[in-house]
Amino acid sequence: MADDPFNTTTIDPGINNMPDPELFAEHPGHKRKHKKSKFENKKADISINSLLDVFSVLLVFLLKSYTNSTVTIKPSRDLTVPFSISQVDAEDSTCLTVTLKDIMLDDKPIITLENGKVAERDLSHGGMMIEPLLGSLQEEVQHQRRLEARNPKSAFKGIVTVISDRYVPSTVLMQIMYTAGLSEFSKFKFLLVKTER
Amino acid sequence: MGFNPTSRRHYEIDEPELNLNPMMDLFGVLIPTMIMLSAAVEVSVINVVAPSIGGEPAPGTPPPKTDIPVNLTVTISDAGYTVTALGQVVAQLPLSERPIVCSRYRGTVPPPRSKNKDRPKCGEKEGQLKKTFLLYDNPALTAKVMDIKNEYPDERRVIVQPGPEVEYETIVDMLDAVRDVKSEKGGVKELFDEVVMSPGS
Repeated sequence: MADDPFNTTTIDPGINNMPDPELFAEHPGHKRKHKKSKFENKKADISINSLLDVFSVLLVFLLKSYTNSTVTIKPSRDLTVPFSISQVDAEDSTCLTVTLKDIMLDDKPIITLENGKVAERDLSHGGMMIEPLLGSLQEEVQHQRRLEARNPKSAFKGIVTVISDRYVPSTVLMQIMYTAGLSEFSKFKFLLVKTER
Repeated sequence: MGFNPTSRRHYEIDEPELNLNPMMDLFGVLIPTMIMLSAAVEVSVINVVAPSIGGEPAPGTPPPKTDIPVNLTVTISDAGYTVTALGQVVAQLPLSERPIVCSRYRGTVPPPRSKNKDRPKCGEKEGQLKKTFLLYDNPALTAKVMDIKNEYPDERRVIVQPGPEVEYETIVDMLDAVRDVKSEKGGVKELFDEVVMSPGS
């Protein structure tokens, strides 16, 4: 009979009674722990390690492309500098920027061109010397000579860096070189955009 | 107290948290500075001298050579190059029709523009596209000056005589063709790197 699963005489009759609530009551002196809300007072912890990695790569790239040359090409609609395979680096010197509209000495406009040519009234010496440019270059020479007298390290080298637009005719270049030659500038550096061979 | 393996299993490594904010601040300053200082384009120069026009030479100018045997001169016109050496014309290099990659001439045509102005321009977005134009024969010029260089290895001076309407870009391309050449071994062989600009006729 003991194996009879339907023998209800062996089942505790109090099995379906409700449990005593006292058993679940809080003990005196015991503080109930309040479950904290999932988002309550949680400090936002953003990981910036990835951003730091990106910045490091960017900084290395910029350091590599950094050039200490003071001679740079300022972007302009009128100035498209030709490409060259030359690998000679530029050095700090007086800059003459030539476009089809004007000639600038160290970013200061000196003379306005007419249809890409120097006006006849600004020329002398058989059409080779640009008079307004001569005056400005001579002032620049005097300025550099004064600097040289004060600081022998900044010796006057007589170098002009020519930054010219690709369309400028050779006549204007020759006039500039002739004029610069009269102002003690005898060496010229044509500044170009470096390209692969 | 005995070793409790359960505590090892639940042990959390207390990693020290680095304060990276100062470093981020530093980068935040450095990167804009570097961007401002870095050149937008890489530049190079070609050294050129003007012919002496009388008066005393500038200080530091080397005395002119009196024993120049070659006097290599390249005259540029809208018809092409004329190469002169030892007072004689050694080569006439007319324009040649060749395909060229458009990347250097976006929005324009290559020189001589007076000859190519009626041809369709290289488009702004046609970087690697090749188009055919009338071009100065720079490869032939390089080959010719290499022959002269082999004959006169000590000579370094080239006189450039551009015509009055020859554009600056043409002069630069010509100088690139005569100044040096890539050797077969991968290096660069100097040809005529002392450039003298002289007004053309």
